[in-house]
Amino acid sequence: MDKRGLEISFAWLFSLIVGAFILFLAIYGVVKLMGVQEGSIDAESAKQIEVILNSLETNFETSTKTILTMPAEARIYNKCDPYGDFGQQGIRVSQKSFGDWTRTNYEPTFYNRYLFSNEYEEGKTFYLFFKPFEFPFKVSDLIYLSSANVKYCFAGMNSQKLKDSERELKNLGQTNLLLNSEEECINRDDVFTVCFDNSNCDIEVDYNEDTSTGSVTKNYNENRDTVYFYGDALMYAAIFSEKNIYECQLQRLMKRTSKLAEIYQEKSALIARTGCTSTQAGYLNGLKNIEIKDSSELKSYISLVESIKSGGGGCELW
Amino acid sequence: MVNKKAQMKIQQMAFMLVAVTLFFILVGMVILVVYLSSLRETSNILENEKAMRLASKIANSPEFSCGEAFGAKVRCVDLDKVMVLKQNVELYRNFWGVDNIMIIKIYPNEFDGVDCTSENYPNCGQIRLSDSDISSEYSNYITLCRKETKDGEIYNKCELARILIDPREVDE
Repeated sequence: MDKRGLEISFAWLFSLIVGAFILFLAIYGVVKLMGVQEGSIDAESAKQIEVILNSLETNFETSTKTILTMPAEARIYNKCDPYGDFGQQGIRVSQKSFGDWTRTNYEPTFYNRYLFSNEYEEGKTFYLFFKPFEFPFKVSDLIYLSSANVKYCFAGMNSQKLKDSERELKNLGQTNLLLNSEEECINRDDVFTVCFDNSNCDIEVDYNEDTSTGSVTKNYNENRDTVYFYGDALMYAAIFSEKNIYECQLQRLMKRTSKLAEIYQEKSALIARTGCTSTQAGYLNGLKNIEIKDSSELKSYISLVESIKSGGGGCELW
Repeated sequence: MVNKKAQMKIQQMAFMLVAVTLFFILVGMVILVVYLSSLRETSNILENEKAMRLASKIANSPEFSCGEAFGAKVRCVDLDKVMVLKQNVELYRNFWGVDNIMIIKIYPNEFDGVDCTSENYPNCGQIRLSDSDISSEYSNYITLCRKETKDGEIYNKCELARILIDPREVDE
């Protein structure tokens, strides 16, 4: 009877152990490298957004569009912090890899940028468009971020002012912004309908043409969130962003408004030495201490802003 | 005899395996170095691009720009506003992501190299937001305007100038 069984020489055993060790090291290295690669792509994408956000500062009443294409399906997270002198805007990019969302520590932050979007936008192609916000002087360019996958159908833009806004949206050429009749919009399931004269839509805009003020209610949301706006720039902001982002960015914008009001008031005193006086300066006290907790408080400043706008006499401050 | 031969073989194999492992580690390290250097290059390109655009952007930001106070002018900086900003510079320390901003009058410049202060304004040739020196090449041409008076008449005085920024984190 043969009792030897399977015989493995020491050389074989040794090579198997060392081989397994080398294989483990190689796999471990590749996995680590892939992680670094994913992280670097996220960071690179975030950096690209940073460059785009830094590149545009419109001069006059214009809107500009930029397309951002990611190498893979991605999420752009919009982080807003209202605390501090000017608050803070953060951005984080996460890409889909083997079914999971990657996480990177690189989060560029800005004190002078205001990004309006949902908490995160998901897709491969993103649209960014910019529009200046004036209150009554230019405070900043507002940036609207939306994914090409999320479509908005605008209906009922019938008044003269809204027709101008409709033309402006059309000129942007964003494929996710549809300008159809109300009926066409409501019959589509794959879009968010934005209506200006109907309460039976996903996003309902109550727009007062005389004062350019109004409210935006998100009916698709459980809480039916309502936010308030002044001017077209904030109207778009309210349409394209979630309530918490909108409110936070509005608080930041008001902080900057207050600081700019101070600058203009001091400028008024400086140029007075040349005999150049401005009637606008007297009104600026009301804006110097502007601070709001909620967009519903915005309306208490609108009459002041309108007075400053119409009360321009003497030397123009802005 | 058989034992010695086996030992030799084991030693041969062990040396071979160590050599192969070292070879792969070296190859891996070379790949990693190449990859990291390309990553650094991309990062620097993006940083430089950001810095180049920042100079234009700052000139157009509401704290600097003329708006319509001097008529519709593109890339126009309001010197009166910049003087006010200089007094409140601490508040704006991190605001634009730059260490310092400097504006140098190019033409006409009767006050070459004279820093603007509240005492000598507007008889000066350059204005620095912070007192520190600026060590950057990122600049852009601008129109520098202010309100001026001559024979009791107020007019807009605009000059050719250059805005220089000292961006943070740029590895040249």
